[in-house]
Amino acid sequence: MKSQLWILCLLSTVSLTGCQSDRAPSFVSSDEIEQLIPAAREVAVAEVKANFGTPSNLVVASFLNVDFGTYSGTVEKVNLDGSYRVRLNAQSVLASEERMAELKGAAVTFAPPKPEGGEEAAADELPKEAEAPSESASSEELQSLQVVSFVPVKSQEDGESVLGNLAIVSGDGAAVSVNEKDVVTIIGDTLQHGRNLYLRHCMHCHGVSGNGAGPTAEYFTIKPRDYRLGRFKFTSTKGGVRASRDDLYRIIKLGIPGTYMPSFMLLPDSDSRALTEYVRWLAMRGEMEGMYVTQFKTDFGVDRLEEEKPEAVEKEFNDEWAANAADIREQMETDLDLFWTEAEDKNNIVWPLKKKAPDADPPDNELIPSPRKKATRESIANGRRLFMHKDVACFSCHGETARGNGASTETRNKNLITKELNDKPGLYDDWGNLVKPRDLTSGIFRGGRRPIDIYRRIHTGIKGTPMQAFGGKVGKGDEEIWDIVNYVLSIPVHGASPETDN
Amino acid sequence: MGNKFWPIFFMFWPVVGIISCVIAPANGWWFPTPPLSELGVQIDNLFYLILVIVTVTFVGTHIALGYALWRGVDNKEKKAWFSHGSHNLEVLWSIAPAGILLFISLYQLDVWRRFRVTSSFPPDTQLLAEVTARQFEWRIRYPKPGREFKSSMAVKQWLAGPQDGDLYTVNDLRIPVDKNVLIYLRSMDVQHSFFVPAFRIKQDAVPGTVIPIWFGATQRGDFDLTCTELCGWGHYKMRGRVFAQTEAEHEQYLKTLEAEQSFDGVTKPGTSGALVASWRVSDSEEDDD
Repeated sequence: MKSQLWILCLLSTVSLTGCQSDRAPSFVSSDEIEQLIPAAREVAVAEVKANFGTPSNLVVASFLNVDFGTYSGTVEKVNLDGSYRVRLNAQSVLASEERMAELKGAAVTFAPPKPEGGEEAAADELPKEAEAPSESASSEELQSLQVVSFVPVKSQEDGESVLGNLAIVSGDGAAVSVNEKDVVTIIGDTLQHGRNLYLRHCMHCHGVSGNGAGPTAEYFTIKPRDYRLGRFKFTSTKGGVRASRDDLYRIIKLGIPGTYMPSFMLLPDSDSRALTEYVRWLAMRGEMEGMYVTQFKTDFGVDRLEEEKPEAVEKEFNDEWAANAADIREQMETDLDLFWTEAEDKNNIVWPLKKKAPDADPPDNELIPSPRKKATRESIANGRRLFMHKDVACFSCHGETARGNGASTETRNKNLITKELNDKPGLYDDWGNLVKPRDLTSGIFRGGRRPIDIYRRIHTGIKGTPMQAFGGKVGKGDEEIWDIVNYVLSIPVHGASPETDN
Repeated sequence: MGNKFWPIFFMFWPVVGIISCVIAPANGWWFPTPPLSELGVQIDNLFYLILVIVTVTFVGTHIALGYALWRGVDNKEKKAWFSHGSHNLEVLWSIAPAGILLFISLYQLDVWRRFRVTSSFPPDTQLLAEVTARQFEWRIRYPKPGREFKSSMAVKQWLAGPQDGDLYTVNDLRIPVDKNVLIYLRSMDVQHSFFVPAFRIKQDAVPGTVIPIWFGATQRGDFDLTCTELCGWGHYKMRGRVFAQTEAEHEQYLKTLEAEQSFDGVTKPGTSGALVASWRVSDSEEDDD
């Protein structure tokens, strides 16, 4: 009887308190970091943390190409206690209580009003340093001025409640002279908002650190993307270039049919943009970690500890790090900034181009847009010819019947990174997952079904996978890629062998 | 009076229940929206019929129960009468509910026929789309805009696989308002259920089968589409919408979708419908690079 009472008490206690007390999300380091000697490991972890912080306290290094968004308004009144009442512009009005709560504490800058149209221009003219986010500790001046609260106010015109169009900003009038009608810019919290959405919608598959190992990931045969290589499969950018914001945004909006990545079509646009920004940032975080591993691995790998004294190796590492830390940091900052900035460069987007006059003598090398060819019988037949051609050899992976069962799926292939022969047969991607070449008869195209999507898949390949770039390698020129596109798009409808099919 | 506590206690709760039901509609504790399709009105009427039957039974039995309790507490002399084993009563309360159930099943046949029996679908019903449920989204395929299906063979052929000019989208089903439309529901993996509460339409999507459903919106607007079959860990993610637009808007939407989908990086897509434009990336701004 007594033991039953005890069990009852225990059960009710557990049901009230739960078994786990600490549920705060945290970033985890990659497994590769275990290859470093402990001292190097510590430095790598500390450096990454210094530049990226933790999920609950994001730090954003100023060198990163991250867009925080801005909210603008004008000072309506200087309150007696030294705070300011700010009326937000129509396009900056916050849509929900949740957003208001998230933006509390955001940093604020002031500028005198422009004679005309100044309000819109204010955001652009912000000094560069001011773009740091609220939670970073990069500028002391900004920290003194921040949003204290938002006041939901009923708008007079239609009587409908407009949330958050009035903000109260803290501040002592002495430090910054602020007058009524001054233009106010609240530094946006896109990244924090993205973080909150990410933890709700994405984390359970992609993991808090973006390592593709969230709790639901283990049930999948097709693994969620591990962002930490900074590599994304379906991009519009040229080979070797990171994914652009628009590429990631498109994936979030449309999902990846045929995989477990669902569409988030109904998320508000600003939410999808915030998610995009956060995913980019997570990728940058992973990349920096990877860079440190690569940096230290050759000289300070754990294998050294087998032969040498740990103290000696550690001292050597500390000396070298002390001497080179600044250079290494600068190199990584430059690289990370470059990688993600060049992905946004319009010149790095793949567009179908052709030579102006291929047969001219002398040849006219100017490139002009190359629109999709009409999907005629001839075009499709030529596409099939190239599909089976030995120089293009689509069939070697996708199979002669385009069912994704080509010979390469049965043979041992070279690892894409180490260039050594794999132990097991089949095709593997950069993340070490077995990949199946697309069954082109299914009518499902993961990276999008627009002709331009298929063109880019063929032209640039699918990054990180054995689907290589065929731009410049096809028959008489990239124009003929359109024949392959036409053929690929016709397979689900008309079959893989156009000449025999009727 | 102390003796009457229990009869009053037990009668108090049914009375509270009935009062809250009576005042519910005025307080918005009722169906989430009025039925926005013609069939929805009929389905609601069936709900109301059942409600009336249940209410009458409930009130009747509780009055009897209350009466028995009320009389029973003061009754010290008379012995209780046990009805257990009474053949007549057993027959009565077997036949009465059976009769009511039979009545309901016959009465609803007409609505069932209209909703479920293909040959009884409204003659002006137009094939709109194929909706494929999968973990965890609704994949939608429209036939080529303007395509007319002359025979059931043509429909069968269309359902058999992708066709030239098909348009694809996800989670966002657009229908023309005031028209009866037909969708073919299928599932790619496990069982799902297509539920549009505003239309009172609910149909399971069963792997391996293609199930036709028709409905029509009587009002322009944006309606929730949810999955009502626990289909996996991401069941809650499976939210879509049904957007009823005017016929002109619907045509424009399909045109925009078509232009978007045939974008080859050079030719500019057609005029943008605002909602499609919201996920179009800046591709279209780039044509002379």
